[in-house]
Amino acid sequence: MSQPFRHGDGDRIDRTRPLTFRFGDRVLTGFGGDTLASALLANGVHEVGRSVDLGRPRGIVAAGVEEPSALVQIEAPFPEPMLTATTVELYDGLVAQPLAGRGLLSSEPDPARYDAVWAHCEVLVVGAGPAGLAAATDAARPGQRVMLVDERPPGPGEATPAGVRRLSRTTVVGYYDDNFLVAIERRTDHLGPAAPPNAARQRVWRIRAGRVVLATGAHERSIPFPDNDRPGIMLAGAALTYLRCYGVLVGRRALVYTTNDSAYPVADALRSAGAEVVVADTRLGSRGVPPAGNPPAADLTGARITEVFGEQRVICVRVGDRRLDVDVVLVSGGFNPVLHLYSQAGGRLRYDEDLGALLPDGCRQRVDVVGTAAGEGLPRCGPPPLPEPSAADSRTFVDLARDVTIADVRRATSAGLRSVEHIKRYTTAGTAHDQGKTSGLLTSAAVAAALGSSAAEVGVTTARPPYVPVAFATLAGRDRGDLFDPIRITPMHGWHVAHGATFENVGQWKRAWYYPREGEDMAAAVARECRAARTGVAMMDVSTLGKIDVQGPDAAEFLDRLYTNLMSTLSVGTVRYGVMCGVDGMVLDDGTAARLGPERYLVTTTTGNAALVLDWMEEWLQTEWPRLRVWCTSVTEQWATVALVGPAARGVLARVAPDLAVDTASFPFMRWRDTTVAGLPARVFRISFSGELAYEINVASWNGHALWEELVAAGAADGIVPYGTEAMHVLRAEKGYPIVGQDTDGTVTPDDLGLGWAIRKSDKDFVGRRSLSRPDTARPDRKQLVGLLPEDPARHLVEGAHIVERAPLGPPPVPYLGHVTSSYFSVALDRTFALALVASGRQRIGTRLFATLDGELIPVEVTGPVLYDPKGARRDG
Amino acid sequence: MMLITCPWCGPRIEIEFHYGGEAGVAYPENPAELSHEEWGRYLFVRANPKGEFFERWCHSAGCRRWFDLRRDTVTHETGSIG
Amino acid sequence: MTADRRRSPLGGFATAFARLDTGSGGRLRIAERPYPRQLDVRAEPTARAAAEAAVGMALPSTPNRINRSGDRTALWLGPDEWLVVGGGGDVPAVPESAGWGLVDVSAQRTAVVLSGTAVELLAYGCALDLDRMGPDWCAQTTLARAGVILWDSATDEICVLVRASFAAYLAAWLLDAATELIG
Repeated sequence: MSQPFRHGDGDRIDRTRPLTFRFGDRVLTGFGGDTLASALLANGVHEVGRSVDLGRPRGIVAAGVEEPSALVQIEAPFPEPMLTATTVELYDGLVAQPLAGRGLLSSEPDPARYDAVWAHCEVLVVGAGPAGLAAATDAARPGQRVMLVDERPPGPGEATPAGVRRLSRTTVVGYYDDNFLVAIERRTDHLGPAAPPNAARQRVWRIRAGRVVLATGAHERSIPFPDNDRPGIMLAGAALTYLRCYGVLVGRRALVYTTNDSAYPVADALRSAGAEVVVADTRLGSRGVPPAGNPPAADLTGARITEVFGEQRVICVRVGDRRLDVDVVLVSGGFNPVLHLYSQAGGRLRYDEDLGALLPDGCRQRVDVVGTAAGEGLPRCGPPPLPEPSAADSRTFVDLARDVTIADVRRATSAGLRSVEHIKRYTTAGTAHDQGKTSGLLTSAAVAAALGSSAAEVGVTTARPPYVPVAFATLAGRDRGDLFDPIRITPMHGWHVAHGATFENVGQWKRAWYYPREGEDMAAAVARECRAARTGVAMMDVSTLGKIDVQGPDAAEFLDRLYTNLMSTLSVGTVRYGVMCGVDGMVLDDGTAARLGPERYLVTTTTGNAALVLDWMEEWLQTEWPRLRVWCTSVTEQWATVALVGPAARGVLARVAPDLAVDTASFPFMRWRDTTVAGLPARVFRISFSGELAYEINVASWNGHALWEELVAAGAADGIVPYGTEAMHVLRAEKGYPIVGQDTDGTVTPDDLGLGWAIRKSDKDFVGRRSLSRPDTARPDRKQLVGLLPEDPARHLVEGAHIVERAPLGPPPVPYLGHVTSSYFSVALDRTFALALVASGRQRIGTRLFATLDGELIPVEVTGPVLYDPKGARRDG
Repeated sequence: MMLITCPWCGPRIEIEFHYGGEAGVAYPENPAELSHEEWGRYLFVRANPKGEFFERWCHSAGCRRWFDLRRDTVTHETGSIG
Repeated sequence: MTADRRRSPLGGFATAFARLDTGSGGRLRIAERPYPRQLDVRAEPTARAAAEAAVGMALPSTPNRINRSGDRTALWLGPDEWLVVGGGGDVPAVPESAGWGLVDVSAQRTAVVLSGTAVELLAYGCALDLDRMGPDWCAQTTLARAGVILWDSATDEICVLVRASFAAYLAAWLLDAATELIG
């Protein structure tokens, strides 16, 4: 017979909508509105998997998110591990597998869509039970946004109060500072294959609420007794939920085992549905008196379960001196108000002796707890009763999800652990997917018993987000692939793509790395690009350099205070290289400053530091020097910039800039000119990062693409070659020009880089100056930038390789002298070379050191950092 | 995620801001006249209280203004100064 | 004068934007409004009037508010900083020691106009409470992972100013966010 344990109409299922699903190798049926758990129970299936450590059969314990043990793997439509059967909504064609404690991650990318939205409300009510609905109704009024969030599907006939925005199948998983809450909405799973393809499967809600009302209810607790993990042993309240909501009778011969009055109505309901029920109450005498009305009385009082028979399914239990044949044991060890979110919010908890539970006790955030979560309507109940110590303790579970037993807890306390937080980490109790929702207080009671303390004193471990497990795919949302992080591109990006450039990431920028021609590998392409720059003409997109407009009456004074060299002495029309230090004297950034007018400069920064340098400037202006009349504005993307480089660059520029006198006398090194280039308004700088004759041409960024194409055309006769960042790196390294962030790491002073010449001679202070005379920064044996030439000119050193004094290494500790910061093959030198930071490096010039490479020691000669054109003869072409 | 009140733009989420460390640590008037120890203290030594702390923040994704903020380092409660 | 050879950062997105318009049944439109004149204006309190005279309009005093004047809008960016969007003509020259400053940043950002269900679209990546902005608002904030300036450019329309290098990322992000809005 199909679904032999269906009984009557549950108010959440639709018996006109039969569904077929697979569990393991069984094909089963259920109804619309079922959870996987209710459908399994309807088919008489209790055992759903095996436990993580001990491999014991495990069944369905609860009816909601608190489920500790019924873990399944969903196989279709997409593999998803470690879901609780009690929260998986059934759909036609669902395929699930029992789990042995651990799931299997899919090796395929998840094809589903996930997204996230921000939301704002004046009142957020969490939980749409009676108390939550009342709170939402109460809060709804014109102009006040009320959100009501509930983890379940909308129940039949459940009306949303007017003026309330309701989110169903939505679980609040985190409660953070300033009433910021994160909820996960499951939007399409229950639709199965009918889900619209463009709909996000799950959505992260980022909610900022003026006030929060937690109407999160309570979770029933289990009771520790030997073999209390057998399939068929479940929470009493869950049995009632399965009967009322899903029309499932979980068993026909039930023992109800309780410490409190709440289980009596469960027994009553199961009896009415035709089950044989025996009620065993752990309490004695007057405390065992059942609630008012017309309830059944306890059959046994003061009774304890001492033995459970049956492995895959409970078949018999011993209670006191009686043996009872049963197919389910329904336990109630009291209730835990669901205060995870309250705790996350910073709320305090107090132990209530009457209810045997923790209750809210004040929170700094604007949050109220109502209904059962505040303890309303909960039965009087003591702490969970524990069995007398016995050999069965190693089969008496406090945490089913982690296979933690009373014996494990006692082992932890015997090892000297006292804090429940330490015991949690030692035993792993409470660290599984369920965070011990049904078991937390059991662990505390076991700890208390072992220490001769009380559950109130021991307390419970801190609840942390997320309240329920959340898939990484959900958290990643749309931040995948190209949207993972912004891809910043220059106006010429399309040209680089169309011409086959390979790109490298520089911060968020995509920069052309090199432009391989047919049949070229990277080395060949870079060599060709370097050769063009040194012997003909080459061009590069340098639009990514940071640019800051600095203007105001005190602009010159301001830059003097930030740069190590003086910028006030620049005349209008000229450019100077500059270095900035942090207050600690370490190099922060470098670049150029061009004086555009008496009160105006344009400064450039490295590509990666544009935002940092602007922030740095604002910080000093606003916090230390508010009297300086200076304004800084980022103009990085106002300008597109092309570097035109090489001995033939002048000729190419002359062709496209007819109004510009390009001869060296008219337009010397380190000058800038406003002119027209290829018919476009342009500013041309005569600066060089390669040692060659070079110009940097700036046009409004929307003209960048046109400028680039014009230069390609104008340079064609000279065989102009576009080059990328790799060739740029080689060219600058041949000249010993350091790159901040590559050859520096925040522990390098200007002098360490050989930039002592850029430090002003005058006494005038600059940021970081005082640090340069600190004993440590003035040490003679600091690491200094030097060149390295491998003795074998074909050996390529690895960036990051350690430098040592002798080979073989000798006994440890081996003195470490420094490391390789840049390493390339040089066409101009026809050999490999490197830059390195080496202790007392300048004193070691001419000596032999060794660089490590995969356990080998490569002999190198230490040289000055400038390996090409040390006299600077090439800069005028 | 904290909601920090920028004195100009009002409450904005934490990620719009840049942290600037302890407030009230002024750049010394004449660094050259300080002993190594005094300068070292300016560079490296900051209070690290459990509880109320006065800090500098910059609304870097907004108006780019620096301001001082009182923050409880335990509870993350924030408030303006003065 | 040579021909206009400008390329706007989102010129390549015109087809995709048009598809969204059709796909959403006109409920949501995204369009680039390229090459907006943008002047970044800075002024000390005493030089405010001079700056306003130079740009030809009053600058808003209230944070995160805009002033409109003809085809120009002045956005509050900071206590001494404004962005004047729109208009044309020569960029005003700043006299020495004027107490105010100005930078032409017209090519620094492009303008993306969202109309229809713009607030719903922005909620995918903007933490501001856009239903409570009041009239004539503007804000510098983050949208997705890009810094933006948002402003109330017309009824049922929000203008997003985004830096040129981030524009393609943001356009792709907006189109992706709109996935559920197109059938």
